[in-house]
Amino acid sequence: MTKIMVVDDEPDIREMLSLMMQKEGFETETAVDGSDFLKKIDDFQPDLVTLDIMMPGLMTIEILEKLQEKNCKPKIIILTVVQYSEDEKKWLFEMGNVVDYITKPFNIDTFVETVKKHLEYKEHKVIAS
Amino acid sequence: MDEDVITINYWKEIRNEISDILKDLKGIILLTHNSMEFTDIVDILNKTRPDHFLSVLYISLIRSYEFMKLALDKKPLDNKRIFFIDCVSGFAFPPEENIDDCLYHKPPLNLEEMKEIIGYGIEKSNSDIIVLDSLTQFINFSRPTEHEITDLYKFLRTLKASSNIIQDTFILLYDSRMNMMQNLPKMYIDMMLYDSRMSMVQNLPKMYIDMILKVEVLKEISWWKD
Repeated sequence: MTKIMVVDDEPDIREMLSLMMQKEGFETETAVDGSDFLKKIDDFQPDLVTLDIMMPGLMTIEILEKLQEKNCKPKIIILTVVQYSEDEKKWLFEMGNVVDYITKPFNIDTFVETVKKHLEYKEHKVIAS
Repeated sequence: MDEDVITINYWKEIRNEISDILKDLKGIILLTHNSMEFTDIVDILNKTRPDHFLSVLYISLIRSYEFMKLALDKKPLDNKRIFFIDCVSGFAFPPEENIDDCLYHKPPLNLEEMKEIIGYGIEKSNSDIIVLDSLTQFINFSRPTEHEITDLYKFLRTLKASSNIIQDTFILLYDSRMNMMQNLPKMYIDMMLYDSRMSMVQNLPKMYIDMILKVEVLKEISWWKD
């Protein structure tokens, strides 16, 4: 089963996204911040992670750097209320693993489509290789 | 304080009314809600005392300096100088050198840090208007208690004692199209600007509100124009 991890310090967001992903047939896990995410990732082995960019504790740049040291390297969708310029977003994509950037508030259907799009690409890639 | 809701039936009159109110306001502290677009905030700042050159301290917990600068290139602030404190860039990008109109700072984890940032910003910018963008983000991030939020409001009120800021008006900007974060503390708020296109009733405490104005008028949206 495809696995999704939701990383957000807001409990409402974690719960909402987790329930939505479960409705789509995915297995889910949540994390409250970057440290929690890095602790859980090895056991859970998610295929895709939604990551809030502004959480107490580890900075996003630190999270993405530490992720490179892990065996599991899921796709990351940045999901945040923070607004960056297009150049700044490009920099995030170049960090590795970041595949998309969604600004809150977001349309739920669009979010689900985005997640599925990136997971389908992964599935097709696996089949092709 | 009694709540005073302005209800006006004609689009043109409302536009003029809002502009008339804003053009005379002094010593404003603008607290925004996450739902407000940056361009909306720029609109309000442009309408505030448009004939005076004013200095704005903009503390951003939600938009990067680069994002705001690009937005201001397209839609400039007239007659206003703005000094930014960018509390978001440091999360995702390597530390930047501070530049003339921007200080990079980590986001405040608690009320004391918030006060320090505001105090530093006032000293640095000699500001007439303070924008805290956004109050929602500060609450989300630092999870203050209700007592601490009240303490923040009281702190902002005490800025009256500062040599450079004479506070007349405390404004909360809120876009009621959003369903989330409706329970924003509104004690000590003199004026709430909100966009009321949503038909849902927003359950917000309304203590100390002097005035409720409609952002949709500032944005010149005229769905009910006659």
